Parts: sequence; C-alpha cells; structure tokens
Amino acid sequence: MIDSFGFTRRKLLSWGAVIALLPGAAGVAAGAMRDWAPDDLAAHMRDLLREIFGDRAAAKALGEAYLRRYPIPPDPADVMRDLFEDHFPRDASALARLVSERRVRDFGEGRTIVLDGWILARSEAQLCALTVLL
Amino acid sequence: MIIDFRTLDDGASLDADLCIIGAGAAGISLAHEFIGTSVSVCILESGGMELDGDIQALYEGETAGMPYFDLATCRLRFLGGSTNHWAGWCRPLDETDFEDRPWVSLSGWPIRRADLEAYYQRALPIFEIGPLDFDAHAWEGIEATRPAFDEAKLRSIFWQFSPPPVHFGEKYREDLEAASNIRLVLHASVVDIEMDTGGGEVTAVGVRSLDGRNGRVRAKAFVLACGGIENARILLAANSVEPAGIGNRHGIVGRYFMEHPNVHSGVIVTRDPQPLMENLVLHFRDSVPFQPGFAPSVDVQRELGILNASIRFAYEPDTESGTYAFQELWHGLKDGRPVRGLGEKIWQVLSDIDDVSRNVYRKVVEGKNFTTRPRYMFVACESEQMPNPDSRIMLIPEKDALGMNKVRLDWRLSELDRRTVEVVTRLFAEELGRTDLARFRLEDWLQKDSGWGDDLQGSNHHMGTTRMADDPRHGVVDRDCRVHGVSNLFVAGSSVFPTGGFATPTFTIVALALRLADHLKTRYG
Repeated sequence: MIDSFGFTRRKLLSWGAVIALLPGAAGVAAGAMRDWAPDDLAAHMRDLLREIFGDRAAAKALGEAYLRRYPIPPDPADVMRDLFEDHFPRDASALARLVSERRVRDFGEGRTIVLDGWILARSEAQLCALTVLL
Repeated sequence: MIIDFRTLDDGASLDADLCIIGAGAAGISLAHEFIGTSVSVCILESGGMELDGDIQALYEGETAGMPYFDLATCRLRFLGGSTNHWAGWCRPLDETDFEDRPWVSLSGWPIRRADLEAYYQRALPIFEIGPLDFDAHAWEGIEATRPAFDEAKLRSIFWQFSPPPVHFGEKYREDLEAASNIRLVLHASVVDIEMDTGGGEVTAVGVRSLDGRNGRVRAKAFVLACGGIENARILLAANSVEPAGIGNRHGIVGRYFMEHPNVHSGVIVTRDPQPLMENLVLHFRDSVPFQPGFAPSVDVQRELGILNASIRFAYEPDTESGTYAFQELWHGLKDGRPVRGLGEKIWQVLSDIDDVSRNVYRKVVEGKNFTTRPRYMFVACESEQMPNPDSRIMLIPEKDALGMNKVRLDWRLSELDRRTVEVVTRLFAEELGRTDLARFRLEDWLQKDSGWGDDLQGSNHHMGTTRMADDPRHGVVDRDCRVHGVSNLFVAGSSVFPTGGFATPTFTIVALALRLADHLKTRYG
C-alpha cells in the first residue's frame, strides 16, 4: 500500500529499525580507555555493539552513511575517544547509559547529523560508525 | 430586516449611517455590534442564503507563482462567507507578531497585542471557546502531560476549536433579521466605489445583481469586509477618481499577499507511540477542543533570524488495527446503524485482541481515551510568511459576469519562509531526540538546500493586501483600519494584517472587527 506521501509499509518498517538500533537502557560501569590494550579495546567494543544493537544491519547502514562524509575513514580509537571521553564502558548497559547521556547533550546543544534524512545525535551516528570501523 | 436586492426597483437607492460590504466573519461581527443602537446599518452581501454556482463564479481568477487553490472554491460567497467551510481553528496572534522584528522586513503593527486583548476576550463567546488560554499554561487545564521539551527553545502553544465551527450566517441570521436598525441586502454585489471629486470621501457604492439590476447605497461610512482577495480587488477596480484605485497612491493595494505555508515536514518513528498519541492530540476542556503544538520561542526567532511558525504532531491511524475496527463496531452499535463488513471487523478485533484489551483497560480503569495504533506519524508545520511586495493580487483584463475585472493571485515565497520551516522542524526533531520520545526523518525536499515539497499548500488564509501602517507609504489603512487619505472608508478582515504570524486568522479578524465597531460607534454613534 502506498499513501499520498509515498510511504510504503516496508519502508516504514525499515525506518522503525532506526529506533530499534538505538540504545536506551541504563548502566553504570565505566572506566578509562587508557586501562585497555588497543586490541582488547576493539574486541570488547565489538562485543558491546553486538549486544546493544538489535538490528546490526540498520546500524551499519547508518554508520556507512556517516563515514561517507569523511574522505579517509577516521581511526576508531579517535571515534571512541570522542564518544566516551574518559569513561569507556565496561558492559552493554554502561555503553547504553553513556550514549544516552551524550544523546541528550548532543540534541540539546544542536550537535546533530542528518543521515539519509534522519536527524540523529552525533554520538548515535558515531556509535553506528563503530559497527563499520571495528 | 433581510432584503433580496433583486426584488428592488432597478436604480434603487438605499441610505444608511454605516454600509458594510460583505457578510462573512468580519462583516457580521461588526454589524452585530450595532444591533439596538441608533446607527442604521446596511450590509451588502453578494450571495444569498446558500451556495450558488453562478455567484461563486464571480470569484474565478488566475493564479501564478507558487501552486495555489482554485480562487473560485477557496472562499465562499454567500451569507456567512468562508465561515461556511472553515474548520474552526482559533488562536490569537502572539505578542511578538505585532512587534517590529529587525530581521523580518516590514514587520511591526501600529498596534500591540495589548490593544486587542479586550477584543480577543469579547471574541471568545462568539466562537464558543475559552478561556483566553492558548499557551503553556493551557496544559494545566487538560488531561495530558507536557513533553519535557525545552520551553526556552520550543514553547507550547494551543489552538482551540470552535465546536462545531461557528457558521456566522447560520448563527447570526436571526439576530440581524430581527434588528430594526439593520438591513441585510442579499444578492447585492458591490461593483464600484463612488468618491467625491477630491477623492477624499466615499459618497456611495454601486451595487449590481446577476440579473442586471443596478442600485447604489449612500452612507456616512463604509466598511469593506469581503476577504483578503476581494478587498484589494474592489479597491483596485474603483478607479474612476483615483486612476490606480482607491487607497493605492503608493501602489500597495494588493501587494504583500501572505498565506500560512502549510507542509508536512517529516515523519516520526518511535519505540513507543503512546506518550505522543496520548499527549499531543486533541483534548477537551469544558467541551472545548484544545490542540497542542509548538512554536519557536521569541529568543530563538531573534537569535536564528526566523519567522514565527507552528509545528504539531499528527498521525494516520492504522485502519487494520483491532482498536480501529472495535471503534467502528462500537459507534455503529451506539448509533444503531449497520457496520459495513461486520464479519471482517469482528475478525480484525479478535486477531488483534491485545491492542483492543489494552485500550479497553485504559478506558475503563484509567478513564483515558482510545488511541488507535498509528500507521505512521508525522508533523505538520504551518508558518508565518514574510511580507513580500511581489506576492500580490492584480487585476487582469478579463471580466466577470458583473463586468468587474478578475484577479490574478501571484503567491511568492521567500528563502526566509523556507528556512523557517526547516529550522523549526529541526528544533522539534532535536527535542524529540533529546527527550528520547522519538527520532525524526526530514521530508526529502527538506534534505535539499532549496525548494518546497509537492505537498506545499496555503491554508486558505488571505492576508496583507490592504496592510495596516501609520505611514501611507507602507500601508493602505491606518491603525483604525481607515483607508489612508479617505475619511470614511474602512477595511475589516485579514487583508489589514501587516504580518500574519502562524495563528489561524479568523479569531483576530473578529477581534479587529469588534475594535473597529467601537471606533465607528465613537465616530458615528
């Protein structure tokens, strides 16, 4: 079915993935990035991302859209540093909590990015980008 | 008294203290104020009691510029005027709409919101709405929770609905008919305004009916109240003494045509639509419907250099949901009418029983209204338009059945008009994201740098064509709605708005008409 706006049910369902992929749970455990060896850090982050993103394909699509803005893909360590500052999450709930805090701050301060028309917090887009970079 | 002009002798002449041209929201509210006074009033209405195709055809004209509605159908030409098809949305203009905003060219009314406050109060019972509570405070009077949006950025606003929309002709016809000092003349189209030789005073208006009858009405004062397009048309066409038309020495009549650009600016996706569905839809307060929405704060307008605008949540219900079918069944049973596709509806309820149960629980236990699951959710943005001299009404050579020149409406929008929609939409999207209520996707056209979407339309709000200004070089009427340079000709309606805010204009049209009535009583009472 196509309505007057040209929406299709399939399109809307795929758009729904945008929400499904965004973390929302709370958590507390966090530590400094410098406490981690680089390889451990990347592996750990990959695990966390796998845990928090219900729809990894949608997250990757958004991440790729974000990365297309860069002539050279950024170093994932830089992205993580920018994203987490000095509070690297030790588990998925901590990651969700941190990203949630950043999201509130980003949206509140207008640090948003338009990806495929979606208005997302920069931190959300960075998180999606990590699913591609790691 | 109601008179059919077609029953009078050809060449008939009528006399009155006050002649009001047009019986829509402005003309009727104005006339109503004179009932029982010593002022004799003659209201001239081009149409009759009901819609008539031949009369309506007198509105035909051309459009250019941005796509616009058919001029013969976007307004109505019979008793009650366009209130016969309006939707009842009411809201006063904001205080800031009246102010001079340096970033908005030619902004600033000669009067302030405070000058209209008492008239807005008086207008409430006319529309059967109230109280005069249209901003954040109104959340307290309805059973809804205000989203935790930052009011310093995006302030809460409300519209109230005239329930059902007051049709001024139906509502006030009997009052006008019974009033001994009022004559309502139907089928009487004004085709000319006669001036004294110096052009400083109107002596009479020429009247014609479609059956070829002519007449004239003499009065001490005249008020044009024919709507934002016709007011300009009649002034421009009255060129026997003033070659460019009455009140048009500075070439302003018909210019600065403004609308409320109306677009869907994006879609909303959320994990849980309930908070949006419960809080951002229509609510009732003492039987008056209140619709919440949002607008940029005055500080944001100033800092970002944008116009005023409104944005509101809307949704398309999922007609395949159990609750949708349940409501159809329920209303059918309640009203005793057959339900089409009864078996299918019952099956729809049974196969989506969780959704129905949730709503029944909410209704019975929590006393909340049913909310049909949305098929999709979107936002509607209705914004102010910057005054633009190139956006205008012009006469064209082609004439109507009464021999009056038809008009061309050239609706033009500016870069600021578009940027306003974009900025306000983004603010709304940011607040949805910040509060984690939802995420927002911009419509495709808003992802580009310029241009408008295919769904852009006006709102049938015709404003600005006889704008109000103290300086005759910048306006057609003065702060008393009197045409500059003409001692006894006044204009009522949204054509006098120098800027239009985003508020639906009818409420302000009536408030201004009440104010004009007070002024005319002082002068001619």
